[in-house]
Amino acid sequence: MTQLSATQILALAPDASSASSGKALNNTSKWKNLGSSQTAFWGECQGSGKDPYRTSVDIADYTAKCSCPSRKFPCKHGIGLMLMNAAKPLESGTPPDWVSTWLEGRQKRAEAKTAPQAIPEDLEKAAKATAKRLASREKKVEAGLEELGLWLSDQIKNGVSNAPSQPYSYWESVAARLVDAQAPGLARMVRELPDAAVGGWLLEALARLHLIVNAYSRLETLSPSIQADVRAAVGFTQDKAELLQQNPPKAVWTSLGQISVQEDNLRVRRTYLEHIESREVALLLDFAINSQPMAVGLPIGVTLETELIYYPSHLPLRAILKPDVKILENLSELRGYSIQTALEQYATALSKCPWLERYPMCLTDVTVQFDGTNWQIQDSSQMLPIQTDADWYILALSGGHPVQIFGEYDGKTFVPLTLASNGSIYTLARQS
Amino acid sequence: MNDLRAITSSALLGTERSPLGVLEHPQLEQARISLESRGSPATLLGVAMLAFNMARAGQPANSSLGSLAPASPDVRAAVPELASARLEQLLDSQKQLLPEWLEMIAQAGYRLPHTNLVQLLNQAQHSPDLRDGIRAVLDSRGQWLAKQNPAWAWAVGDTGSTESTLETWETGSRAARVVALRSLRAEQPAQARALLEAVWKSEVAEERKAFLAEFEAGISSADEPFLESCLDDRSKDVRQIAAGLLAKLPNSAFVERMVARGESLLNRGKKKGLIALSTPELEITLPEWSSDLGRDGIEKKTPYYSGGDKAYWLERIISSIPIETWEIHLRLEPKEILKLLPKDWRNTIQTGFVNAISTYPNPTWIEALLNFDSKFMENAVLMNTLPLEQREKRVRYFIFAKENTKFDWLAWMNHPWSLEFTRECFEWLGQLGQKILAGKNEYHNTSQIAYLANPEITLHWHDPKHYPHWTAFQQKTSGFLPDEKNRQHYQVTYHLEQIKTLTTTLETRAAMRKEILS
Repeated sequence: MTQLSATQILALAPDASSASSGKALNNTSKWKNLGSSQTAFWGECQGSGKDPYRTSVDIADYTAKCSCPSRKFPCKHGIGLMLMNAAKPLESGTPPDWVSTWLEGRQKRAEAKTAPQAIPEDLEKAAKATAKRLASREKKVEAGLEELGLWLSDQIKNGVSNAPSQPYSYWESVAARLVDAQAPGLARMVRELPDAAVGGWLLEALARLHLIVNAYSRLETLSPSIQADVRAAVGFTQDKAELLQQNPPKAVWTSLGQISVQEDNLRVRRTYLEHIESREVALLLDFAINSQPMAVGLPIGVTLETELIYYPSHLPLRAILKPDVKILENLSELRGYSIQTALEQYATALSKCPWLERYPMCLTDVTVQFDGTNWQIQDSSQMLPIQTDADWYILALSGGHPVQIFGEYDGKTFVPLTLASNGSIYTLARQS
Repeated sequence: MNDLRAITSSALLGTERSPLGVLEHPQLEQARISLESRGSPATLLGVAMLAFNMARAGQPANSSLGSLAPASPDVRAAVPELASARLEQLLDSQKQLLPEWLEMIAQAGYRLPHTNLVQLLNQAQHSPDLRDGIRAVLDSRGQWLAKQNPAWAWAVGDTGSTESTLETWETGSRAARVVALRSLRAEQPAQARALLEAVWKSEVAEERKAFLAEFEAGISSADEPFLESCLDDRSKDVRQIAAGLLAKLPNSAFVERMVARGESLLNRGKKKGLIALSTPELEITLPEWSSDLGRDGIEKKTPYYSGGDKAYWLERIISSIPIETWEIHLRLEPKEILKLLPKDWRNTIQTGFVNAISTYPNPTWIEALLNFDSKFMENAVLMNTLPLEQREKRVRYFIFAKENTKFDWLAWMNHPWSLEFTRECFEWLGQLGQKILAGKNEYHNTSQIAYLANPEITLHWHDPKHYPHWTAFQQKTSGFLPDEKNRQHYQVTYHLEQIKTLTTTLETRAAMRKEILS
């Protein structure tokens, strides 16, 4: 059983307004019948309705349940309750019926999920249909990629000097064509081209597209793990249900950092875990379209016991978790590497996946500093430019003393996400 | 890397016009040759990918800058966990309570948590009224942090060494020099004066004015010769500031001159009758203009005064005279003087008296003025100079007891209230609320009360014995739904919302106190 800190709890909030309302509900005078047990804590909060909302939190994984109509998870009542318990543990008591019923239900559902799935009778038939659908899609993709290859060739043949002045529609038509061709991964990369043209990295972006098109055209000559990477880059999705059939051993992972970004109408959340012994890193991706609520995230800076499955890849990084996650305890430190070693690891990763966009790294004994133009992160011998809103915050937390910082590196700039100093872990990324 | 430049330039111009030539780097050149059969665009894109990734993977990190001297350990303990959570909430949605919170943690001897330093320092950029409170609770880490950001210089302004203050004074911008002079004046007034005197003649009028304005702190008769010399300054503004400062030195030649002038203006009249015991009379002799008057900071033409130049001179002279002068000069009690003032000049002289009192607070005179005319209750200068108990007593008498509903009095009750005064205010609010419920047409903005009232009241206000009106009002309105058909519907809703905000804010303040002080 562990107690999350206020910062960790606020990072669980699905958006800034829930975090803010949650803070306002961190006030015992707004609650009744508060209590806690070994497995959960709970309370009733008077809302605008006649009956108070019943809110409870499962301590095992900080999942909140609330009778309010909000579609956000956790809702503001959940956040408020967690914050209150973090500030001063709620008095222990016997869970009321509505809490124990919920906990039992969760338990049962988790057991049902781990039980072997019934095999559908017409398995063969279904497999055939899937194969047929796949074949038809592959054909479309092939055609779309061939077209993209020609377009790329034309760009380079004629020169890209006037690319920055092209209208948005110029790029969008290419992207739309790729969407039709069912290659959404490449469509996304094409949509970045206007930014690239203005930002001075257009050639890099075009070369990357070309590499993927090229690799896909000779897919069968590549090793299975590289094939998987190429297909993922094109936009084929891995069947999650199939992945989840694997049964990896339960293991202890640490949650290192998290960042949410907005890409057009899609919100993407990246969460990084590290295996406590092997120190392998894993990336969990969550998506939400438009105003859809994001799935509940993991708290950052804790150890957790779970079954993690990597997606097949030449550079295993992306992964998913089985539903049963148990939070064990708070981390008090991050284990990192020198900038030199981290850069070497990055180079190795890049050689395995040449279109790698970013890679997680944890740097040890670093300080941050403003050099007059940019913020830099440095250890005793080297430094890298950093990009963050939390620059002064890092300075305040570290006081100029060496600290551990986890973040993402894109080959040019380091984006700090989590900081460890004096036995405490702080999250740095603003949740958008 | 020359190769990368060659690749980029070929891509910009197009491979048709500017094909990619031989590359320097052996690996890139090898790649170029092996890709050649696929056509020039494919060759270029392939080689470009390789070149970019070589650059990324081989990116040599720059060697580190010299490192910053780290902050020394904090001396004070961080605020308790609950108080820290409260701070988060205040920063989020109740910034008005920040000054009080800061003051309480300073009193309790805590420092700010490191996690909120940036937010608070940034907040005070926009709200300078927070700065003193923040400065008091920064400790080592906070001061170290503020030093790194020029925008937060205000947070460390007064902790700089004397050497650095002197350096700023010599080389800084005007604003920085004003701050340097202020901090020096606070600690070593004589040295500050010597510094200013040394450069006085070479500064332009705007700067002389700005610097002299800092001299109120630590003013003493040692400043008199310098200030007296400032009366001969070329700038009118400087002369006026100097006169204002000299008026604060009761033994100065300046005040003596003013007293002499004043004594010739207001005198006991020569009684025509024979009976010595009859009521005395006061006579006014209006001042005449002289250049001496101008030198002492009084303008020849009144800048604002509707009563004419002479009335203006009269008011200015009286304003610069210690108020107790009059009791001796006229051999009369303050209340008698007030009563006997000639009607035509009464307002002018009273204004002068009030100004004089603001320089030399005098409880007897304030009492006399307030007793003489309750209009002085509205004078913030007088009310603010009155000791707290007296102030509360007056308000109690004129507002609560008389059921007056003027809210202007809040303006000068700008200090933490006593519990008893708070109780009376809430009783009065309870009465007012009941009248509004009964249909009285009034709108009052009571929100300020939330920040002034004594939060301890939240422990007692449910007690009907001491709070009969307040508890009765609360009872009547619990679960109260305003009748929409009633014409008074809006004012009742408005009042109820006001009271609700008021009570929640007070509860928050009470909780804040408990979190920090317990």
